[in-house]
Amino acid sequence: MTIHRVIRHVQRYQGWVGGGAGLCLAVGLYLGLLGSPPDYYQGEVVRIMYIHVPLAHTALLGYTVLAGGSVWYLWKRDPIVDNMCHAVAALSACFTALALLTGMIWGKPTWDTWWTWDARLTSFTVLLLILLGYLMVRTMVDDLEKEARYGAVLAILGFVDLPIIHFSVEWWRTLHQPQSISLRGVSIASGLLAPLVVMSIGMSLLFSYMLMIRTQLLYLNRLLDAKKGRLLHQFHVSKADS
Amino acid sequence: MNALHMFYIRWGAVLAVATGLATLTVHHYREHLASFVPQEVASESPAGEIRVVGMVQSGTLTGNVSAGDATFTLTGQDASLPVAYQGPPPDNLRELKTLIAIGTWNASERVFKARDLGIVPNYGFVAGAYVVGLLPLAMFLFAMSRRVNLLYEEMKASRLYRED
Amino acid sequence: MAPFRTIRWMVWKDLVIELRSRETIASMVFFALIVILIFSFSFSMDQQAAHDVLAGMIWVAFAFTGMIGLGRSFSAELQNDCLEALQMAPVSRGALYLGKVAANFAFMFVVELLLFPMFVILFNVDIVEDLSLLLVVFFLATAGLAAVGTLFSALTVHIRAREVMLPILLLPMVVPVMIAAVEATKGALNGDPVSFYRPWLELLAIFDVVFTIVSFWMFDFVMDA
Repeated sequence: MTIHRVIRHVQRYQGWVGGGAGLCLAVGLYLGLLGSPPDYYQGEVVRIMYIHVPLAHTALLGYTVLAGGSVWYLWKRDPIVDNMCHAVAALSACFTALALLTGMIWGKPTWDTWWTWDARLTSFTVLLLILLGYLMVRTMVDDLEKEARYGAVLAILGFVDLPIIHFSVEWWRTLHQPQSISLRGVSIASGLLAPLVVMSIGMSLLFSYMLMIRTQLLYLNRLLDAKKGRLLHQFHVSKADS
Repeated sequence: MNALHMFYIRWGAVLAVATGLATLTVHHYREHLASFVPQEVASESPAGEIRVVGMVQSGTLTGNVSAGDATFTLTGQDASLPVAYQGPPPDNLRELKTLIAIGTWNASERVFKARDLGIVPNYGFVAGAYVVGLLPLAMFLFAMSRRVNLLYEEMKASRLYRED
Repeated sequence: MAPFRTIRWMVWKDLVIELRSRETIASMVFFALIVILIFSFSFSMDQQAAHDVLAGMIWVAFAFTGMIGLGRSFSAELQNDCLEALQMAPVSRGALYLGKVAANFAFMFVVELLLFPMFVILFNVDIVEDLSLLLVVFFLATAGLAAVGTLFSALTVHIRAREVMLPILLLPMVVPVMIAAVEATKGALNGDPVSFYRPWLELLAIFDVVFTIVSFWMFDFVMDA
């Protein structure tokens, strides 16, 4: 048996991606926590932005990758792509939840409330629910090939829905109350931009690294199950691996 | 010395570096964290430059604020402290605002000579956000990497895996 | 025109089954009545308060009753392996999907038409001025629910815990429909000029078109054996 060539590439390059992520995050944390001035209006609390915004960006990036991978899966039906999609969904859900939590922690000192039905918070919550629904469905199908197909369909539908959700929630908020509390009030001065960019790059690299690890995890799990069970057709493993 | 040992050594190194950086950061902010409340200043008369946290009492703010010259009273926990501020024009000085005044306590005149004012830093929220943001990711990554290593070991042990 | 004949047959089949068994619509109406009852216990309302939250209550009731109809739409096909017969039938999958959407839409719309007068009577709301616009809102929002819901009903029919998973998957997806429907219904009930809530009608129309097309395309993948 040989390992799938995608996984072999992942094995070869994952160290570089992980190291790059560690380096970027270390530099970003230094810039964010020590090397940048506090904000004129928000004071020290603005430093939460350097962790919150990259988490949110990366979660959205992850969802884009998930939708792209799902289309690719439906087109090529390659099981390794499905492993990748499954991994991305779990990581995206994790990043979305953490973005919401850090957003809440940021909201308390700036808006004096843990939660408000702000447009972005609401659409991120809906995004999290869609991702959790996706992950739940994937645990509830007996046939692995069907599981992959249903997952891809759900991911694509959710991706199409995201902009509509965002616009509808935004209109709904502007109708009900003027956006007195909005993140848009934060004008990003140049001193604040550097740590934000570095942290964003670092988070994306960290996401890629975690994605590489998790894809391997799901792939190996499925491969070992298939090998032990000797019922390859049940385990949706590509022909090259067997 | 198998791959799993290397894995634990690598994560040990990451943990050590992270702990070191966190300690340095906490050390950096420690001096900003130590501050007095008005009651302590009046009773203990600390020498040297100190930081006092209190709220600007309503109706006590006088002087030319925009020129950087003001007197006001800081209150907190049933004690108040007269403050004479002289320095750069402050951004955040207004009544009922909670501030940090940096300066020296003049015990003979019973007045706090402030040279700088700042808003109260919410280090707790910042630290909380970074811990909440990074710690679960690190734990998630650790659990996944460990599992992947175990799976490779299992594959090698069961002779399913042929190294290229 | 083979696809249209398929659609017609699908709708006819579902309507005949429904006319003979009267299971789906009856359970939807009874469920909605119970929801209305629970609303009246939960909020002690005078006429003004009822007027303010009526649109929200209407759409909560419609969404949950719709869920019952959508869930039954495909799970009913499991009996006698009808689902496999549908999968093997030599007709286009898209036509099957559109037929199911039309049937589900018809059930939901009929139930909504039955329920709306009950809301008006039981909560003593002043009768509205513009019923035709309200019908437009109901039509567009129900079409959106049916378009996504039919696809998800076909998807959840093969998985464990399908009764639970349908609402869990569908409700986050139709958040825009719910928001737009509540806002537009509110406007229509208040007798506001159409220009006040035209954006919501447009949003509903866009959602309907986009999701009918995407679900039409995706239905192929869901129905593969």
